[in-house]
Amino acid sequence: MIIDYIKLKNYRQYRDQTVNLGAGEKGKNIVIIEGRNGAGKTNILNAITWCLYGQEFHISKSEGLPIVNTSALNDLGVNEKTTVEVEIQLISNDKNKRYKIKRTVWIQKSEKDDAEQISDRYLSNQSDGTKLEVFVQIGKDIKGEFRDPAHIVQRLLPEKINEYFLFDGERLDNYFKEESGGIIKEAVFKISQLDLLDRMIDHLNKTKDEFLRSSEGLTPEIKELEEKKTALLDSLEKMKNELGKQSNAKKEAKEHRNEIDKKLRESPRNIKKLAEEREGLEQDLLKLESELEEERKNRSDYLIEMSPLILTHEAINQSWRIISKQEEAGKIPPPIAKNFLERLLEKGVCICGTDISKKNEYRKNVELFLQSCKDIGNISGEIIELCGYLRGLIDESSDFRKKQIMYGKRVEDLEEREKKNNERLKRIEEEIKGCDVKEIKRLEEKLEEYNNEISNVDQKIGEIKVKIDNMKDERLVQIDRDLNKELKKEEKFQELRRILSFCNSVLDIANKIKTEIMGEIREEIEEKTKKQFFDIIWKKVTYKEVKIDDNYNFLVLDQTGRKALGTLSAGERESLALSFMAALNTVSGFDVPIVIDTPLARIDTEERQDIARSLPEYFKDTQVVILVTGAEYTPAVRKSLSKNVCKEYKIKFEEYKKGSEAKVVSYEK
Amino acid sequence: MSDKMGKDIKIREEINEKIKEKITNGKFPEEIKEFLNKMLLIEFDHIDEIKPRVKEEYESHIKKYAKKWKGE
Repeated sequence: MIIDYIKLKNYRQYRDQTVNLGAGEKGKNIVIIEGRNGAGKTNILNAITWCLYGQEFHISKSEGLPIVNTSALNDLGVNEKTTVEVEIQLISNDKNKRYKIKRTVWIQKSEKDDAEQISDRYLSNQSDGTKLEVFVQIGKDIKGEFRDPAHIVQRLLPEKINEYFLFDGERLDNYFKEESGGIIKEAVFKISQLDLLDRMIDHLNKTKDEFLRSSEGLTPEIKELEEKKTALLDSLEKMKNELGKQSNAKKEAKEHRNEIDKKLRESPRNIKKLAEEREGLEQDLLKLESELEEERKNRSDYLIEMSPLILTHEAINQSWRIISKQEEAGKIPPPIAKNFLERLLEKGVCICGTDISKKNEYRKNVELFLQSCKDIGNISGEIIELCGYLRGLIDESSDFRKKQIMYGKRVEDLEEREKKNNERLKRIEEEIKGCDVKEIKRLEEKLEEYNNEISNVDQKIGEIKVKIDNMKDERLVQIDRDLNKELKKEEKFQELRRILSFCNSVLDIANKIKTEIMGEIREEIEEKTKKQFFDIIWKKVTYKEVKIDDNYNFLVLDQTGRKALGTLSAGERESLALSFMAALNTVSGFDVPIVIDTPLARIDTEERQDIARSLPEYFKDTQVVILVTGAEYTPAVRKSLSKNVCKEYKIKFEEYKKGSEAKVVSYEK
Repeated sequence: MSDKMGKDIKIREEINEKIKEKITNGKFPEEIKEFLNKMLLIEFDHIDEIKPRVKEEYESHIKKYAKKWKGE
């Protein structure tokens, strides 16, 4: 099935636009729509989801602009009305069936110049106040005015799995990140319509039990078994309800999470880490500043302390040398012995024989001489002491250089750290310039909360499922066996037995078909994903294996057998995601067109070309509408896709005084 | 299987090929194939309803096919 065209009237940037996407010649299955960020690419995707389901899944709820084109709104007078319309035509591959789907909403300009949606009960047929119309043309017969047009849309393109054919390229690798296994399994289940089998099994079981319950003449034993079974089925029903509640809680948490995720993707990556690093650096800088101040003070204190010594260094050195020399020469202390003079005075005879026993001039001279000796001795002692002190000062001044270097080094180290921190801080500031870091941090924390919530709900869901399986597998099977035994005891239950036996046989077969298809699809998806992935990645030797387990969890192994999913580059992850999406769509047998928004945005230049070369191969025989920016759609990418491109458009965005308008024009224009 | 019934039970093209193929080529009695096809179409018609009212249709088809059922 392909999208033949999309008509947009007064929808967001588009005032009046028809985009023909219809197929070209065989093999040309790709449509390119190129536009700058904000020009209106994603709103093509939103227009499709709004037309089909009445919801714009790829728009942030916080984005304030109204659904009506601002220029169209500004053209209105107060209380004047206009409509917003999106129409899509789908054509089956054999071109025998056409489905025209159109959604309309009525808008009125308020006195405050705002756009207000009007619900016209005569015109709208949907609970959200919009009108949905579906026209089906099979051959030459046209049928319209369906009682429940939404039902026709759901049958064609089920909303629950819309993200598997209308997807945001920047979210492709999320399929491997989040609790993807369960989601993918559920999607495969739905895409393959195995849920039809599941519902049939459920209804068949209920009807079968009703046959038994309403039969007349049941024996007490049968009644008892039947009551047991009813009680067990009631418990099962309660658990299924709980399962539904938990699934809804999960869906809600996922919606919040995706909303936050989208906002965060518009901000620099790891902003929380960057902000934390910035905070750490700022604290470190404060600490460094005070350490540096202290070290600088220590250095200057030391210089001040040492300056007299340094200034008098030469004098000290010289003094020490003189004293040391005198000391070495034995002149200090003086060689005259004080005791010898004292003994002479005691004996009263000088060494020259002169009598000095009495107080005479000679004795007086010797006494004076003794006094001088005493003073010289004391002075010598002081000089020797001074010499030791000078030696200490000299030693200390010889450490001055070492200590000066040491203080200098400390200051330099701290200054270097300060410089590096300041440089890093500057880089971080540039990276997060213009971002509301506080808000982003809050969002990241919220994101983590939702992730935890999803993981907790997943655990609960898993537990409930195990309980349900146990009840079904063990207790119910045993009750059924016992019932059959009892029914066989009496002839009158022959018809009932036949009905139950028929139901049981159908149930066995339906369950078997379901299990077989699920297994086959998984194996085929694994094989095709692996083949396509290895066909396009250039590191073919690095990776050895791609596996998908029963719960659709991915495993990529490198040559040494180690898990390598986490080490794949953005391009490799996207290659894996695209390989998987293509495999999913071809294997599950669900024939839908695919619309991808910005598939190459996060990919390196070289990998872009690899992916561009492989895209037509991925989605052979499937219409693929690719919404790209000019940066993605490089000449090399364009050349790689050229063989398979049937239509190529550009979005021209113009702003007027009255509003803005986007136009989808041929690429050449 | 009569021609009339054959037309009645023809699975519409919207039903997944894999399911159609499993039913058509499965080695199990024809009446089960017919019944499965019928019921899948009923389910398909109510695909977007949470609690479809299909009890009566199930009862009548079960009765109809169980009558022919010899596999007890």
